[in-house]
Amino acid sequence: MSDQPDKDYEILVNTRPHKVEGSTITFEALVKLAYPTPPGPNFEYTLSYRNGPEQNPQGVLYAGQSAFVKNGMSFIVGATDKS
Amino acid sequence: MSARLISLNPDLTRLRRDGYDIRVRKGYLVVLNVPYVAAGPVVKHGTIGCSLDLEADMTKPPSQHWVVFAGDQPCDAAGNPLDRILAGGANADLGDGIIATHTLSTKPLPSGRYDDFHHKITQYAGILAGYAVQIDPSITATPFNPVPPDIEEDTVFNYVDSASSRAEITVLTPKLQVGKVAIVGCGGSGSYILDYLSKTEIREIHLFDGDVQRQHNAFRTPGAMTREELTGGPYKVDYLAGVYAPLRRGIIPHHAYIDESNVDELRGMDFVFLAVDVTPARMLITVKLAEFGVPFVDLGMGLELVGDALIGQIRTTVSTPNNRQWAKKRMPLAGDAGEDDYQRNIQVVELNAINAALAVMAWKKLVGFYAHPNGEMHSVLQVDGGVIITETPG
Repeated sequence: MSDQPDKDYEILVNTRPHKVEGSTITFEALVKLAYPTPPGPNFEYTLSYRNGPEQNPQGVLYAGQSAFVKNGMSFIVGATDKS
Repeated sequence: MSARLISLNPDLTRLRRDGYDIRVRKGYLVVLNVPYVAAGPVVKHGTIGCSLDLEADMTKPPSQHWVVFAGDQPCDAAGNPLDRILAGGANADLGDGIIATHTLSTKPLPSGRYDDFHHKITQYAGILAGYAVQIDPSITATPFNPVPPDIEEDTVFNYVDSASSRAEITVLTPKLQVGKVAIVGCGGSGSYILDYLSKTEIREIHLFDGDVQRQHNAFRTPGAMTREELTGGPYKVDYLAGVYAPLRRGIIPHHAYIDESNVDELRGMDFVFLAVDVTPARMLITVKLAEFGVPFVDLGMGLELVGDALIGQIRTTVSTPNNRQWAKKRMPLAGDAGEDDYQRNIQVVELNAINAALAVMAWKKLVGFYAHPNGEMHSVLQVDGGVIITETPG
């Protein structure tokens, strides 16, 4: 367990900057940042990220998962069901 | 196809009249029974392959000066390799089981360009046979072999695919020659999938969509619709089948949405492209395709206006009998179309095209046309960034 105090990071969620506390962030917290008013009970999200730290530089997150964060990390949250 | 092409073009007809044993296969002009000297020295017979430059099946002056050769490394009369014309290896499928493994290159003097295919073939056959004749004077490159009945090349195309021969990838194109593929949903992305698949030798491409092609659809479909084509609101599948009919046969339109009553039509497909909007349809189709054992790719995008610019993600998910649960987790299946009333359906044509292209590439990786060392089966392209994020099962 690290004995460093919880740091603040500035991340981008759907290109908007947010300050978050702690070295990791959950799928659910990211969805809330992207959609403060939920779009609907059955809305399904695709959540991808890039510019992350070496534990997870880029990838996709699913419900119940979390990712390590770093300054400038970019998360995109939205539906991907249109053709 | 072969006999017709030869009779249409004077340079090819002349080659046959001269007695060369020629045929057209896979976009190549193939010259059989060309005598040459192999190491030994010993006289053998090989095959020259020359990619054809065609415009509506009429030959143009050859744009490439080299040919490919099936046989051993050609030599002079003493058995020394013909270094002055040997230009490396090759891996070209000339049809009928003949694979060319050498490239030969020489330019004619003084122009450096061949006038036509008669000029080009007589040059190469002449060099090779010239050495063979020194060993065996009875040898000839023009044997006047009886012309076989035209075994129609088994192709879906109405004119020769000279792109694959020109690029020397005819060894790969048979991997795409599957029997039946379906495109479910022929909107922006589906129509681009058809554009790409139409250029392969898939025997049957089935189109499923109950929608009518309307004016706004014209702005996310390949090519350009005329006012006449827009008038009367044709079914999307009928309009698209008509656009690609001049290129090839085997495009079969079904103007219906897939639901319980007709989902059985997807049984027996070699592969399915799912490019639908409506989520309940996606759920039914994915469950049934898993039951039928059919592999498929599900694609979709979502764009959002943030401030004054668009962001979003473009997703491609491949589902095969080996990864059904893994893929299911990555596809939006539980949503309700009704919830989306207040969501703007923003799509932009080039993003439809890239989504379609990624889906076609994913299929081509499965059949081995593209290398697939990482085995990724899910990809998300972030529109605002430059990366495609991929995931591999396991």
